[in-house]
Amino acid sequence: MDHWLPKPGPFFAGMVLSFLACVLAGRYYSQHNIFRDDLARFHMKTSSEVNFFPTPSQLLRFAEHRIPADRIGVIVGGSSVLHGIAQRPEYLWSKRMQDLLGDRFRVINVSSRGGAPHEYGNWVSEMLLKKRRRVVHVSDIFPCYYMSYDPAGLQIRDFFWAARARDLLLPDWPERAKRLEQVKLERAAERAKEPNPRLMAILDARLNFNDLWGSFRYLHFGTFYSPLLAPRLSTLFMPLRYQEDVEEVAPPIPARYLRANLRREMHILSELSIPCADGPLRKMEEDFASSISPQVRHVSVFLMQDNSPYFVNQLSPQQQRQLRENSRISAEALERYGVTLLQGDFLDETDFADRVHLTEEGGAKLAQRMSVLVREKARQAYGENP
Amino acid sequence: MRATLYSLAAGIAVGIVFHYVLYRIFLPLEPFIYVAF
Repeated sequence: MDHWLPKPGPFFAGMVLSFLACVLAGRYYSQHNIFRDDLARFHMKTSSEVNFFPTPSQLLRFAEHRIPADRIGVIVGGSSVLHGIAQRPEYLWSKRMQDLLGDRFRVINVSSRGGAPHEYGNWVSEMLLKKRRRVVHVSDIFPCYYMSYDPAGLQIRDFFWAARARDLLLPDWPERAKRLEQVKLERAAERAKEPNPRLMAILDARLNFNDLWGSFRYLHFGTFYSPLLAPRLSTLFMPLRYQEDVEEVAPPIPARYLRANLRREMHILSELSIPCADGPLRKMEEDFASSISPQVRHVSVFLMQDNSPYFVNQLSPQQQRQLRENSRISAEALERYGVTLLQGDFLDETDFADRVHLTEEGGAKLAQRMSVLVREKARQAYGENP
Repeated sequence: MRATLYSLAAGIAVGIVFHYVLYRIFLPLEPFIYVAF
């Protein structure tokens, strides 16, 4: 039986040509916005949970598309609290904030579930500041605890390295440069076992494979299996832009807190109410200073995460006082870096969907308070009265 | 002529697959959020 073998000349010519065509197609997608105009957030089915990671170029083009040069961009990053778990997209707090701020501001929400304070939102702010655009950065943080030791991030380190490889971020400042070196040395053994994000970033900056295939998945055809996308065959292969943002609202109060794991939540609260004035506070400050650039700090408003009074009221009076004290000293420490802090103590039991996430009513209150601080920050930073 | 066309088409397919494989090999096996939380 004869085996067909391709002729080497045409075979390699086809291979090189198609590979180059892919590189050029990726370059095209890296220069154009691919995201929907009505995108409220990167919901569960367009997020890392289905292995979809927006690239730096994609988010930069999205931000530039949504924020005209004569408007002030409000870039919402941070964790699931600002992502709006338990808030439907049409009632999302950042949409309400957009309504309150008016046309002079353009709000985009790039926060992620499990996101650290300096991930997408901070890096999009860096990219825009580097292009001399006017932005206010909004994020959230725990008292005395910073989620990530690594300035390259907690769950999306590839994004940071990809943005650096394309020279999209602000220059390093001493704290970030020093911490990146420390992380590199400490994680050398661990990194040997996984794909090197720096190598990926350098390759991708030249070959654009993340921009091409990420865009292809988002715009044209689902190429990746995930249980979240697979209730039906049609949704498995559906382009991610058509995946629905489904978020369950919190049930009425009695049922809402009955389903909570009380023991687990009280354990977390007990940990948060241990005095933190020495070690943990200093560590939080160091992590913060190595992750958020001085330029971004001065245009940042942070929500100090609070806890539902339903749980807090079950702590002893001394623990409750200490919890408030931890929150106060953390806010004071961050304010020394130029950040504006919003304490979450204006929220009551009905505003929480669980221990930390906000209901749509809580989100409306947050939008109201945050919009005042964003306006004030813009006035301070850009010397005008927007 | 037909062999040349087939060879070209096979090369084109391999080039595209190779570019796609670069995208896939750098994706995590399991989403971080399920590992961490």
